Amino acid sequence: MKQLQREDIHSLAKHSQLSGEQVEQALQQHVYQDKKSWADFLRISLLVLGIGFLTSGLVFFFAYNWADLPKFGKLAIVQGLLLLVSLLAIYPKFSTLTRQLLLSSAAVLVGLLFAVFGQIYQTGADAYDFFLAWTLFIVLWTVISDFPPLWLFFIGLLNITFYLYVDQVARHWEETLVFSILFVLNLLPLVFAELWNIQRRKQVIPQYFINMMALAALTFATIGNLHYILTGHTEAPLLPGISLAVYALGIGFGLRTKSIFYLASISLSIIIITTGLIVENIQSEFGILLASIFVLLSISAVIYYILQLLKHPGYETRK
Amino acid sequence: MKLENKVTTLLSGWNAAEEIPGLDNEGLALDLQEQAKQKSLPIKILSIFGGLISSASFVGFLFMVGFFENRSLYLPYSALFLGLAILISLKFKHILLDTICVSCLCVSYILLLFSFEEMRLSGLWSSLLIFILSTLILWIMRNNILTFILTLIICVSFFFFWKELGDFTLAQFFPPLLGILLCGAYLQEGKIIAWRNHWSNRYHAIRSALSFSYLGGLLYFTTTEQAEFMHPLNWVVSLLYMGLIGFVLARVLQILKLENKTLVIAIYLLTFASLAPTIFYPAIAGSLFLILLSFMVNYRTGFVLGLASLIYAVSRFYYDLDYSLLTKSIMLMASGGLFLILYFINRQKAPAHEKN
Repeated sequence: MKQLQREDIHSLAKHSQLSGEQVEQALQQHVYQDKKSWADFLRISLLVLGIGFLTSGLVFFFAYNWADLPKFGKLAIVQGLLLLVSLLAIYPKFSTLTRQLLLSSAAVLVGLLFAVFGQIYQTGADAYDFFLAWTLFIVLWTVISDFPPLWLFFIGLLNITFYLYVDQVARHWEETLVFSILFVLNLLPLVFAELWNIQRRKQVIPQYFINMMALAALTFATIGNLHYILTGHTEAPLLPGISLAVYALGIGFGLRTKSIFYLASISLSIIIITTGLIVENIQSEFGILLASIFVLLSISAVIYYILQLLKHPGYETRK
Repeated sequence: MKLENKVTTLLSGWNAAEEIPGLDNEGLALDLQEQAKQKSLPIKILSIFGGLISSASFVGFLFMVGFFENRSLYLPYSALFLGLAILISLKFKHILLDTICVSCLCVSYILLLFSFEEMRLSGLWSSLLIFILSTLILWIMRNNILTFILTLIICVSFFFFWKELGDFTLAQFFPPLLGILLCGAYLQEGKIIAWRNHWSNRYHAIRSALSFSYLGGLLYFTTTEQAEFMHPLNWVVSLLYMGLIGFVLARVLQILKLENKTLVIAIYLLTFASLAPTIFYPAIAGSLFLILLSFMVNYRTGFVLGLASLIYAVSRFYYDLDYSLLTKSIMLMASGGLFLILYFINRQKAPAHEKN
């Protein structure tokens, strides 16, 4: 028996004489959360809130207590906490989710430890050194955690590390080059995730992780290409070529896996870049008007193409 | 044949003991075919983005050709673009033309705002006129994306009208009143859908827009300029949100079928006790209300919005608190400890199959 979706019930109600109570009952039965879902929700919420508030409290405690604590005391407390949380993360009687959250908490505490160390010894290191060390020291945990939110946190740290490196050390690097590297940095986990899912023949790595990485990569590619167009020169002349190749592969992959997400998001990026090209090359009122008309027509064309694809079986938006 | 299969598959999920009165198989089959297009989020995002970029470029073009020098033309052209948007959406019911409709609507409203500026209309009158106009158009329009945008405009204009009327003290009651509306929209879904009119056809769009507007109103008062601690009567706003949470909790407890009255009272007391310290910061209770309501009806967008709002609101709460870092850290750790204790109590009481 098919479990009815919300849209199915709405369609049934629209094309029948079902009463409001009957529709409500159907929604209660098939769509709304049941007792088990609420129990899971309560359990996970309490766990996440508990660990989240405790970790934040610890961070605030160390932010306050600097001057009064001896150096040894500061380091001992943080390292002790890190050790405790790490050990709890491998305690077998906890559920998998609990252990993953504890490991994530430990990953945050690694950053706290380095912050404490840097504050005490005033090493004079740049901020990017701090983030680089933090990133490197949680690589192993990230790999073994099998926990996508921690992967996202790790990739976020990677991006911050790179950005700070450019800001503090490689100041002479030009923006297009920076965005090119950020594009590749976020593209690699995406490619890996898709290949891993293909290799395992099922959705092992969740779609929200893949979608977020795709959006991040596309954003950096779009900004990098726009910057190249607007400045006219770059230290990364390969960016347009690489973007084009990756976009072509992305569209091909989207068609092969019958996913609308890649088709829509890559198309939007191409439209934005082309609009920038038009505005930059036709620097007049006509250029702006042409850009406006181009956006209108190209978006309509993309939507038309997607609608045609949706007529074929198997095409649906990846969730 | 394929359409018939879709209908058969769908009907197999319906309770076999209950007949569906007045079922129109053909209409249902066509609707199922359209479903994939209607629920495609990328198409909606493309339409809105495309409309916004296109209208911004077009307005830029008008600016460059000196259109805005002739200020008397603002209102007629605004009416022209508005008429175009209404005509296209009523005459050609095709998803392809949504981008053009959005574009025309955006250009129309931009020109309208310029005309109000030219007429030196006050913020009060501008927001009231936009509210009335948008409400009228919403009655006429049948397009989902335009419904979404118009509902947002209605909520924003009404909020600014209220703000102009009675300063922030009065305006901060707008989000909880919107919350009451949201409660009705979420919980009366079945009845609204059974109306089988143009409102039920646009239910999703209106609900999404109300959720975004509620979130916007909630977070508006957490920005530095409008920091929540500064407003008189903000505790009343918090009480309103807590009342809404209490109402949702009552529905949740019905679902859980809890008969132990002591446990029920304990749940209410714990909930309100944990929210009590945030009484002068309504955004936290407001966010929690959205999370509970959205989770109850399995509305993912609302749930994600509520969650993001809660994280932000809690962060701002602790940031704005005028206590030392030590006091804040103790408050956070105590809260964390309490939640973990409740977690372990819940685990003890849970049946074995729920523990993992």
